[in-house]
Amino acid sequence: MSILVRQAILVSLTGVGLVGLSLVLSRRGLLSFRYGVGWLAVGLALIVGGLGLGWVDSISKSLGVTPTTLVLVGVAGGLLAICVQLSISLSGSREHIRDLTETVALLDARVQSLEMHEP
Amino acid sequence: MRVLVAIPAFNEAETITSVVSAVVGAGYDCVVIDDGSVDATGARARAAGATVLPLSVNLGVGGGLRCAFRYAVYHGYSRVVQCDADGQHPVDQIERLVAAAERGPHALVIGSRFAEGGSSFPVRGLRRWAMLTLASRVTRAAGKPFTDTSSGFRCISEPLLGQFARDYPRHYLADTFEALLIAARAGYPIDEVAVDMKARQGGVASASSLKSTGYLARALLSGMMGLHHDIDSYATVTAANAARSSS
Repeated sequence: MSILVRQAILVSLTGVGLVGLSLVLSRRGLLSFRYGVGWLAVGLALIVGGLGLGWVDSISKSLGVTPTTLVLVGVAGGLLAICVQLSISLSGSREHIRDLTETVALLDARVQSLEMHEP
Repeated sequence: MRVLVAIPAFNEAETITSVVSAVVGAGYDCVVIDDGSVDATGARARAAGATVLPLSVNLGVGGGLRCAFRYAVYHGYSRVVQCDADGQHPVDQIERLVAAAERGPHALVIGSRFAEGGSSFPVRGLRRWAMLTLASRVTRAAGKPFTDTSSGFRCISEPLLGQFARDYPRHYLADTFEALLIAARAGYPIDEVAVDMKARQGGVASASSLKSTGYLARALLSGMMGLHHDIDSYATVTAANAARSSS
């Protein structure tokens, strides 16, 4: 079995593993639909990328790099994009938590004031 | 103009009673932002006569202050004086800040430890260099000299109060230098007055030396990166107010 075939199997199996993990986590409610879909897409991309490693081979030759390097760079780029998206999403969530915390505190003060003036 | 004294507090049960009692005794309305304390800070502040805003999550001083600004705007206050809960800011100095705000009028007045006539605080080494750098940035933005950009003793008045109630730098320790820089860059009239401050009366400082150094580095970096905050410029706000009053 050539190195290229073994790499194709390894990449595809990683993709299958990621798809499986995404489905399990989504079904258990540990991963929201939005992020579940994102990781499913990454897993599917790995499967397709693995199966099409021969096609990657021709591109990598034209770029002057090995197929493995090209796949790794692609995966690293994808993961980086996901990390940036998650950072943006997390920052937004933190802002929402802050707003809610402030609003709850302001409402608490109003309730206390109303209770004090209650006959 | 109605003045509200806002005191952000995190685990300050040891000192909060005396601080609130002094503020209330001086005739000011007082709100304590209980920033997720696990001790009796909130209960003691309430017993001493303050309105307490209990934050269920620790938001830091900036987050707590925005909450106080929202409270102030909702209840019709036009000035907020920010004080520490550890007793460092004597109540008799509040009047100096308010008087300076009225004299300007200034939308933001800083109580300076380093201005002539203020307390003498020995600061050396890297910290001194960083503080001078921060002060020079604000001086450049405001077009007038500032000596103490990290003072947490300050008076914020309308129309800046309404803007800060909408958007205020809330990340760690950003309520001092960044808030000042944002106000200066937006064209709000700002000033500083010399005040006497005391040593911490009890409890534990929330910022260690290491954290303080990190803060100074981050403040310098954020100043370079530009600060994005959703506040209207002083010119825009005053033009809108003038149009509203003429119509």
